[in-house]
Amino acid sequence: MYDVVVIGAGIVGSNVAYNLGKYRLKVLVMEKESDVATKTSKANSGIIHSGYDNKPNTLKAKMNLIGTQLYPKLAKELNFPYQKIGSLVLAFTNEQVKQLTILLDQGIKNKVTDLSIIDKQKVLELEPNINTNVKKALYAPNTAIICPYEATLAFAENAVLNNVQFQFDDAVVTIIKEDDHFLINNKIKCRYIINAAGVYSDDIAKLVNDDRFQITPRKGEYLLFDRLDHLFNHVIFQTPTKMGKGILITPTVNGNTMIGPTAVDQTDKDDDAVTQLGIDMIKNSISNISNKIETDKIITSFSGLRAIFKDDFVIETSNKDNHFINLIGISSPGLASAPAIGEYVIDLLKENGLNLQPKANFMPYREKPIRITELSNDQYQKLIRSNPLYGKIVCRCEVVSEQEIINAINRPIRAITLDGIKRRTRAMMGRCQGGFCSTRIMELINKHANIPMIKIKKSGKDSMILYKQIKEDESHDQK
Amino acid sequence: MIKNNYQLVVIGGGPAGLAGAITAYENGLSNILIIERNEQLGGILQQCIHNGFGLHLFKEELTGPEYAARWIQQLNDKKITIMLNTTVIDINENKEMTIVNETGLTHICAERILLAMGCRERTRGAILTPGYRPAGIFTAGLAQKLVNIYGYLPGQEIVIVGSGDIGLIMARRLTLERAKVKLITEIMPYSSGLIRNIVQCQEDFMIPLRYNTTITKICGQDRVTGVMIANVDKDRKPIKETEEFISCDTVLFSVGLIPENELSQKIGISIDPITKGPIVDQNLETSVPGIYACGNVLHVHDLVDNVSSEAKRAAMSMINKTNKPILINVSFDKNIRYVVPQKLTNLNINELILSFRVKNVYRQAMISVKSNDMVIYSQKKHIMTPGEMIQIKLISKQLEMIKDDLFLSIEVNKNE
Repeated sequence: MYDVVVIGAGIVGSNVAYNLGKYRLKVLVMEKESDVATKTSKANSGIIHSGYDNKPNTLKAKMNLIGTQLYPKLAKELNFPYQKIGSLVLAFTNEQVKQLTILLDQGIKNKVTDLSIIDKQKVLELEPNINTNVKKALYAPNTAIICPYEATLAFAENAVLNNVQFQFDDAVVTIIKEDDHFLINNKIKCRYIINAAGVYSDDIAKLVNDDRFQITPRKGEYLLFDRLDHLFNHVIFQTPTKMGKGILITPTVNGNTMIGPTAVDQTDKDDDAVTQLGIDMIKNSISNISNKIETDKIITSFSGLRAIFKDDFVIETSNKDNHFINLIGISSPGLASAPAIGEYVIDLLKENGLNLQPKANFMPYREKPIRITELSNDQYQKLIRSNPLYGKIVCRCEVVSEQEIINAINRPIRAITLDGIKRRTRAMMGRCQGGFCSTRIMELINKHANIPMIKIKKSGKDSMILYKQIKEDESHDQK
Repeated sequence: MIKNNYQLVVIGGGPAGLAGAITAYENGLSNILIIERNEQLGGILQQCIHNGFGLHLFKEELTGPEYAARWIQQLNDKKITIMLNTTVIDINENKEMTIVNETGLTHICAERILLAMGCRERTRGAILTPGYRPAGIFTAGLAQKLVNIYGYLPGQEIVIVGSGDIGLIMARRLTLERAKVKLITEIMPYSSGLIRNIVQCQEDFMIPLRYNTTITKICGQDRVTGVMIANVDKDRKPIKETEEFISCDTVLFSVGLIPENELSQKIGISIDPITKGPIVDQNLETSVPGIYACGNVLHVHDLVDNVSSEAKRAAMSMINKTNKPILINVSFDKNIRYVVPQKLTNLNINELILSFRVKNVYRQAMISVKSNDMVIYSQKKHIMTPGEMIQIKLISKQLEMIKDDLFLSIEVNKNE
């Protein structure tokens, strides 16, 4: 019997898991995909918003403010990249300039400090590559960027170190209430359930007959550019519309430039396909902001679905069962709010009768994965002396060594798919998109995770890379 | 850190690097290093098990590995240092570099550098093909490596996007392995592949090749389930009404090659926006003195024999190099995509090879080279296609006629 089952291993579920790891509880995270952060949490802007954008007195405003304050300490303890680079909301028309003032006032109401409206000259000083017809900008120096999947992984890995269990490729399809506990999928018993299922959270709520929610998946498409050209220093927004913050330009923590997202409401929760319409929309909006962006530097495009439900987050116990907590409609600023939501869930569990005893041996840290590109020459030299495989480069575009791949395979949450390795090491994420190194990486998965070559997956259950062996040469297969 | 000095450092041990290093050694340079990031020399040749290599240089039809072996054997009696599994991680315009392998970091100073890093394949991501991102999407070269080196078939029913040479070769190869190649799509009205490859695919293997056709969506969540294809209009935009679904479990992309010039950019070498390779002079010397480029890192070739010859020329010219008293630009008309070299700094040479590609298919057209409005070379060609690199040779008698910038043009016969 588990005390708590968390459904969903995105940024929200992983933050809940991280917080539950602090207490003497038996906790399981159930995830229908093969890894953490495979959906919305891997395909978003990666921005820790400062909070001026939220309607005052909403849960969004409250959670955003707290989450933003929690991130710097969490990033230090859990060792994930966090860069406070600041943001600009650009105004090109007088109408847009007026909107900046509204945003500024809203920010002050939301207790966001350090906001200011800056003039053209200052904007161009901060961002020389922006079109010179810019009039003014709202400057928020506290806006930060993170890598959303690396952060999710950090929370999840810390949870594992604190004895939280994770179960992948296991979609929740039935929940039955039996006396004082739930029975999930006819096999897993637990006393409390946290519904952190993102775009599927309305479907999960329905499993306990709570049918008040209807999630609208809102597609957001992005274009990712090569690292070589460093064009922008801040997160750059256009003035917002009712569909959201609009298409923005942001550097990533890894030095790429990312542009997006679009915002198109749809009904299909599984449709995260990139569209020609979306690509064209992004390309067109780029030219409004800067004419220095060369679209032949695009490495790839991707898209994610935001879980939209009305205007605010829903963070509350179900009206059907107070041992079932719904986290619904966690769209933007969901990433920024996740740590606050994690803490809030603990309060809700306490209010609803869960006995929370802090663990004496709670481990607040997560070891930083070694990245050879972050080392000085001296540090790197020493590392190779201790383990020569750090000197064997597998991924040439992102400069990732063989030992870093092996480490990813052996971490607390193992990476045994190509996408899992990619998100943990950056291998295959560069300009060749794995053309040169993916076979090498498959060999390493084969060897170190004991998976036959033919069974190695890209990501999901049926995403096998290879069809069949044609040569009876076993030299590339350990099994 | 250990420091080493070399007369010549060759970056890349594929066909360009091998021919460059061997030629330089044979012509007097002694202290030579080849840096190769893979575990063996030969580069992409090792996965090209089809034949047709070496017709020009060895007058024989060799497979890729055989062609590579011809060069690798020549290393045996030469004191050329070879470092495998070794990557250049830092490099500057003073020809100093930091390399890494399992023994650690090493600092290297070179008197000359020959860039021979080859090229990479353009990906589905780079051409922004809409749709899902399931398993079953490969570049043609990756599929070639899976089949020929690793011995695995990537799928059963295959659609190939782009009719570049590797795509055509893989269409054949996969059919021989009993996969069904359902279609090759080509967005242009002509193929960028070699004529012999197109003929083999269409006539000998009966694989359908559809021109003016593009792929508008990749379908499938976990594994590819099919693609949407459509005809394109004259602006190469898909025509919605012509869209149709083709089921398949694998999509191969053969949509072009891009010279790998990230190191060149780190050095600060000027890059030609069309070739995506360094701008070079008749010596194949880049904008940074003492750094030369050859093979696919300079511009994408279709025949490896031409890569080897170009590498030999680069090696010879770095040995025979003279001062740079003049500067002549090489320009060209709208029918030509690019010309290498882009400039000349010395005309006191025996011969000059101009390599170029045309933008369209031209029949019975005239190649002409002018300087100061005087025609110094002209040649009629039966057919020229964008897929085939054309080379013309100017000899000293013609070189003497160069008075001003050089201008290449294709004079199209109006009646055609």
